[in-house]
Amino acid sequence: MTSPLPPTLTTDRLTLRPFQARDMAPYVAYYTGPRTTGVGGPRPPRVAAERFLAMAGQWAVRGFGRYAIAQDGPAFGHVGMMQVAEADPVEMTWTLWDAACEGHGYATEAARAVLAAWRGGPLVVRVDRDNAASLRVAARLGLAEDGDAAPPASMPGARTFRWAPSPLGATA
Amino acid sequence: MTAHAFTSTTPVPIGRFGPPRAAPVITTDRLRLDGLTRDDWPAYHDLMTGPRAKHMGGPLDLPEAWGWFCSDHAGWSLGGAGSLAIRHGDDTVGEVSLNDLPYFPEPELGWMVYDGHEGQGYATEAARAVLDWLAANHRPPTLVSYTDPDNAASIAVARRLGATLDAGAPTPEDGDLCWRHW
Repeated sequence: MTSPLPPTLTTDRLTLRPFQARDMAPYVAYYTGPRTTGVGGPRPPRVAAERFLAMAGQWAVRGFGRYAIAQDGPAFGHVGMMQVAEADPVEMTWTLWDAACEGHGYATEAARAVLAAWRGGPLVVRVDRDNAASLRVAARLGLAEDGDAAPPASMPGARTFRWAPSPLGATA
Repeated sequence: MTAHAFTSTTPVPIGRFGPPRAAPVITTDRLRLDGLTRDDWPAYHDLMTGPRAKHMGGPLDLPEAWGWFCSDHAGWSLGGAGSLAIRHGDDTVGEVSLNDLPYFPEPELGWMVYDGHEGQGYATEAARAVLDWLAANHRPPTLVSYTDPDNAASIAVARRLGATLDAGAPTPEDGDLCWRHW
């Protein structure tokens, strides 16, 4: 199976890499905190830890997944592709775990690198309608909104965007 | 070792089985233990969403089961412990796991036998082989197995492995039994 994403990507300012044990604590702090309102949280630490492990493990099962967004230290966000059931569309997500990391363009820089590297099929992106920062990222990436799509039960306030690779290869 | 309650927002640092390493391949008289693959998902799904999962924290819905399945793959890349498929000929009959979960008070050995393969001694044979492998490869200071108090089949496996009931040990959930290997 050829992976549609490489294990690591680098951008001007960021390293997108596999998750490491030291990334769990900041992820749990994020997922137990108020930033997950609108994406199924906040949840207890145990559930947060399970989510972290599931995110890390999807690479081995699917051949693609979410990257840790980091510089030199522990991760401060994640970006990449997820897919639960085989019949589900591949969904791209991006998240910065700490409000202090917002406003630097990190999410856009990371997501743009992932889109450029993606060698798979069409993607769906869901953003909570109240998440202005993430909606701006979607706009900067040039994602097309699908106004007819129904939000999933887990994210009732979601707006849906779609992205398809160009026939000549991803050029986001 | 000190018991860790997983009640704060700071999880226990994982890595109690050492640094990341590749999933080993272990063979026994009847079995081959090796890394899980995506093809193992249907049997895992059927077990963990079905009635027997009541002894293993389930039954789960599909996204939960998928998350747990992915988690079982994650261990080897985050720390030196994870899950192995139990293969018997062309069949995958179950899974045996070294668990370094942040909400487990101690490093843990677990097992599950997929539907239709119970009663053959596969879990005991696989778990014994993993115990032997672990003893020679970054043995953690303590090792236990947690079971549901009503899970007679799994309790029998723990006893066959020579584990002893440790009634005073902390457990992930109230009412779980803690079986101590060392």
